[in-house]
Amino acid sequence: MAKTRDDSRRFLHPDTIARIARLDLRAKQVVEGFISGMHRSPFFGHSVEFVQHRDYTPGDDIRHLDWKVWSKTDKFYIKQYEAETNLRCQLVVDVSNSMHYGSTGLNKYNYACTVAASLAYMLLHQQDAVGLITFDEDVRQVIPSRSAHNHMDAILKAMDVSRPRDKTDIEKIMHRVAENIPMRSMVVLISDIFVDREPFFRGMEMLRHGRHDILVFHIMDHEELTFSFSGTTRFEDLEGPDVITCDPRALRQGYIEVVEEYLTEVRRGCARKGIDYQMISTKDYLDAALSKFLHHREAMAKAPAKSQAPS
Amino acid sequence: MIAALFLNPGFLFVAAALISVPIIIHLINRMRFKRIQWAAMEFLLKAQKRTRRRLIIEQLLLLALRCFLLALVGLLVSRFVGCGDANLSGKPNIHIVVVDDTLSMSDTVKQADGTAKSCFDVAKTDILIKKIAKGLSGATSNDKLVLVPLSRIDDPTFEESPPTFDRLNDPENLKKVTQEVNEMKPSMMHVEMLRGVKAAKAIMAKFPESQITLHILSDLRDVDWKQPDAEALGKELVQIAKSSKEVRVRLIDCALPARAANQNGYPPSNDNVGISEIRPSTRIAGHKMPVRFAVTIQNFSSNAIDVDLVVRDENEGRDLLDVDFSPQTPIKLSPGTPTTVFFERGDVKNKPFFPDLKAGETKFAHLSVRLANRAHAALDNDGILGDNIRHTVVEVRHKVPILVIDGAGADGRKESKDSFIIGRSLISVPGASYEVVYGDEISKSAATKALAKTDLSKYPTIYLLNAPALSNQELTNLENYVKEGGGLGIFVGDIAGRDLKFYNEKLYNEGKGLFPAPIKDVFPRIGEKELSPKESDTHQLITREDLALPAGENRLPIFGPMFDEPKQREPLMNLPIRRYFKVNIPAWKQQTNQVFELATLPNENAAVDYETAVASITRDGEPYKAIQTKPEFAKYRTRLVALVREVEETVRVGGTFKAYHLANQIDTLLTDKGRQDPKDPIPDMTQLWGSSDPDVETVKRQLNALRKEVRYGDPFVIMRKFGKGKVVAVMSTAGKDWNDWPGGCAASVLFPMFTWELQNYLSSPSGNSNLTVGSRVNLSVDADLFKGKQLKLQRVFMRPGNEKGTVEEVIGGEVGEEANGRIPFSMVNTQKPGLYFAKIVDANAQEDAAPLFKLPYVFNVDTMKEGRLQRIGDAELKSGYVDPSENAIKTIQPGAPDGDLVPRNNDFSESPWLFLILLLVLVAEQALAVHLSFHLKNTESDMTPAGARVG
Repeated sequence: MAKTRDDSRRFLHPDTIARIARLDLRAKQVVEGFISGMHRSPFFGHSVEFVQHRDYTPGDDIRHLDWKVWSKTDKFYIKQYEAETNLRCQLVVDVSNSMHYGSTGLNKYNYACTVAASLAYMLLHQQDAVGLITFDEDVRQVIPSRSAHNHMDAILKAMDVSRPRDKTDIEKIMHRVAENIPMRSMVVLISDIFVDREPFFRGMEMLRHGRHDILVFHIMDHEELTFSFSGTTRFEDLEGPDVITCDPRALRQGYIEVVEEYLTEVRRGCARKGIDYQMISTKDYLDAALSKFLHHREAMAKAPAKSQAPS
Repeated sequence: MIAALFLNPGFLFVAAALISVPIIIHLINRMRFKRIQWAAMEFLLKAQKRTRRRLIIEQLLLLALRCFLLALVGLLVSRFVGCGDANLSGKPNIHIVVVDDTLSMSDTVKQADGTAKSCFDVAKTDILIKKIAKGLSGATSNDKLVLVPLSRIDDPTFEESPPTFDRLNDPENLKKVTQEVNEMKPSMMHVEMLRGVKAAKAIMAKFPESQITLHILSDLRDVDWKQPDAEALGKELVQIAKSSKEVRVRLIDCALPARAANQNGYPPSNDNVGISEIRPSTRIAGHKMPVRFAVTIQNFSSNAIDVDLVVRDENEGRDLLDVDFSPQTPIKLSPGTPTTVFFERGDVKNKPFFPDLKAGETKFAHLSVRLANRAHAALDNDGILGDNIRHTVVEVRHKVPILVIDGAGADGRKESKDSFIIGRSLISVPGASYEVVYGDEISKSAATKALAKTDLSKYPTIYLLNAPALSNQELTNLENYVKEGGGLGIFVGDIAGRDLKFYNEKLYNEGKGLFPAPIKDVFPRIGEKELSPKESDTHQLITREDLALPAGENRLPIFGPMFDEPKQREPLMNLPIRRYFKVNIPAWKQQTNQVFELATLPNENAAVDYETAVASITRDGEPYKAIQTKPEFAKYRTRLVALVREVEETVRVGGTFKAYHLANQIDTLLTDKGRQDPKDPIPDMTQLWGSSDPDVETVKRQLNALRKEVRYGDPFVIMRKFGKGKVVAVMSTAGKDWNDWPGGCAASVLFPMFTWELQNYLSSPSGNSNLTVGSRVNLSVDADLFKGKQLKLQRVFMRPGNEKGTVEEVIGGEVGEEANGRIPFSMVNTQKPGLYFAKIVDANAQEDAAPLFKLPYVFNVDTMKEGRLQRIGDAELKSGYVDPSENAIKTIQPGAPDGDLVPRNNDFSESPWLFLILLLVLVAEQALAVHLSFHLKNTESDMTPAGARVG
């Protein structure tokens, strides 16, 4: 199957990536294999490259007044620069028990971490600020967003989780996440969303109130989508006491239907709330997430047009 | 028995185990499972909750289908045959096996390994057990095997329920058949195959809706199977074969050596010799009276064989080594012709049967004669041993009573009268112990009344001398007496002559009565002048040796032994018969094999009456003229013409010659030996008549015919068979009233000899008494003689026991019931050769009481039918029995493939329905399995993941 794909992408296959033990190297591999310096920042901020002047309007920060132009023309102009490090991105990674299921080389947790690391790596390389929040039962680690190059290590360390715990109250978790993102940011949630939908959507709603752009990477294991087991199997819940012994082939049809309903519900829920949603199977190539992310960012740039850099 | 429902019941348990396999697999799977730590448990729980009930139902259905599938496979491999009589695969097969267990099947051949094997071994072991029964053991349970052993077809229990076996696929039943067949032995009987086939046909009728195979296991001997004698058998078999398409006939040749292609169409057969008859000269002998036994031995082989004879006293169980045989032993048996050996026993010289027999005592001398080698052991290289021995019995009395019924009563005992002459003649028999009993003395009135008053069966012979008309009772008693084997001698006379109507209507009764011929009249009539006694120029008594002999006789009765020496005929020239009964020849219905003219008077008609007949042969006869012209007969011409002239002279018109003169003259013409004198030779005319020239043959035939016509006059001594007995009628008086034979003429020297031979002949067992084993003998007892008693027949077989002789063995009995004044009984169950007694006892008397009387019966093997071992040729078998066009009749050799005898039968496993059901269940199972997603449509990676449309 890999042969039919574009040959240059072969290193983005999850099986390939799985062979790379260190997460930073994985991220590097993913990002460099995908886009090295391909994009342009859509945000404006404090930077060196002057772009244009515009008329002062009351309310503008007077720190941005070009006093040199006022001295010559006696008119107030605001200086505008192209900002290169003005994106704040907060990665919210689910590291709960359920994420530790995986039928292929990369389990959901690893996959999610790889995606998060790749995004962080890419953003940091462009001087964007990246922060990370991991959660399971509660928020586990909070790494504020920075754009320093050495920030990558902190992010990678934070994702390394030893004893994962169960997700319980997603709404509460989202509340804590929102508290930990002080300014308007792009929030990338990477999770399997094996939670109650209502609290989940309420949590999303809460984040939206904080004027965050939300991008959801819904990570599902391939087996969770196909359910192609055979033979009598005892399924033991990773996050609960439930146990089912059954012939999975007999249950498959019903299972697929239930999953379809679930995915539809999640997708629709996200759409209604203006949340960008992407379902990713752990079998998908890892660039899928990056590609989605970039598309999302471009769409964001177009939507608000050229705005003032956030203060 | 459940096992009987299956051809391979062994597989049944395997099948039962197979059925449980899906359940066991299911249970094992429940126990052995993979563990998976699963995150999306929420969906799994939901899915399970939704589909749980449907799944359980579907899975149970699937499990049931799989179990059912295996059950069907189980039925298939264990070959279920159905449980009812209705066969799923078609009509039931009935195999009717006619087993020839007659004596000839005991024909034994030594095998290469030194063991002896009989044809019957081939039939029962090689065919019946190893092929037919074994073949049926692999067939459906509805198939039946019915055995028809020929020796048992007369057995009432067989007729009711012939041995039938079914469900031979059950080893128990197969074992039972094998055991029963192994116990079968060839009988000593002869039973016609036709009867066996008819019995099989009657059984076939009981199975109308069946496929029938008629197996005939026989040795296919010439004597039983060769056409045209066996035409009826051939027709019957062809008719059976053609009666229905469901019928097949299989002839299986069990004889040894097996029929093969290299035998030139005639399979070889064993040599065999056997005794076909032993006949004592009398069935009742007096004490110390000689009895002459004639033993007829047959050599059925193609080589001359030397044998020794051994006589055994069965009563005492010892061989009699002092018997003188004539001819002496060893006896050379030439192939194809019977040899008769004589020996005497019973008189002082040859040892009496019972030396210390007391007056009034009756004993039965039971002898057997057997063929043996020089060492008196069984013959070597003899096919059948059963026919080498033959039994006989002679009733020995201290005095043999002979009843004389003389119409003249006491007057008959006056000198020269009938009773006097007969009584004296019988007493003068050398060594005789006769006791003449006169009817009038018993009845104290008319002699004939004695016939109604006494038990006639104790007399071996009754003489009816010049008897008047008998009452109906007397006649019936007399008839029954002869029917049961008695001998009756009848002489006539003037008292009888007055009752001619009785003789014709009652005693002759159109050939159905005792008297052998109808009477025209007394000649000359009573009152008319008697014929004048004179010295005759011809024999006054002429024996009819030209006629066929009675069955079982090898020479003319009475006169044959008398005239062993031809010279003894000479006194017959002077035999004045003055008056006699003239037979009404035109009204005489001579039943062949029943009535025999033994002697006639000379033909006293005028010879001139035959003038034309003579002229047509001589003067006007072209062949005669042709002989005269032929040069090769020139030397006979003069003599021929002279002799013919003498013949013509006797018939010359105006001459006084009698017809017998003409006969004598023709005799001379035909038998003149001429003269060998070299000076004046006269040619031997017998040489002329021996020529094969057609003209000579024609003239000879014409002359013989004419001689026969003119030689024999009125019948004088006539014999007839009546039931088991014999009647000899002499057409004149026993005394000297109507003839001078008893005394006063030259022929008188022959008269005592005539009466002895007559007595011997009348008291000898008749040809019919040569009973064969298995036959049924009916006897009846006069009810009047045993009034007030309930009679019971006790059948007794004298089993040859040990050194001490025979032992009585009761083989059955019955209480008689009167019918028409007689109480009928029958001797049955006589399958073993030997002596049997019919003991008539008082049913109410004590068990050990002496029987009222007992009758001996000897049953022997049918050597003539069973001893000939020659086998029917291939071509004759084919033309007579095999139906090549329809293949319904087929001859089969023991080495033929099994399928020829018992075609492999269908069972449930071969029913297309089973396979159809199997297929449907299989399809349903697969459909359900697929439906239940138990089977992947493609590889797992190509499975459509959930959310494919969502992404």
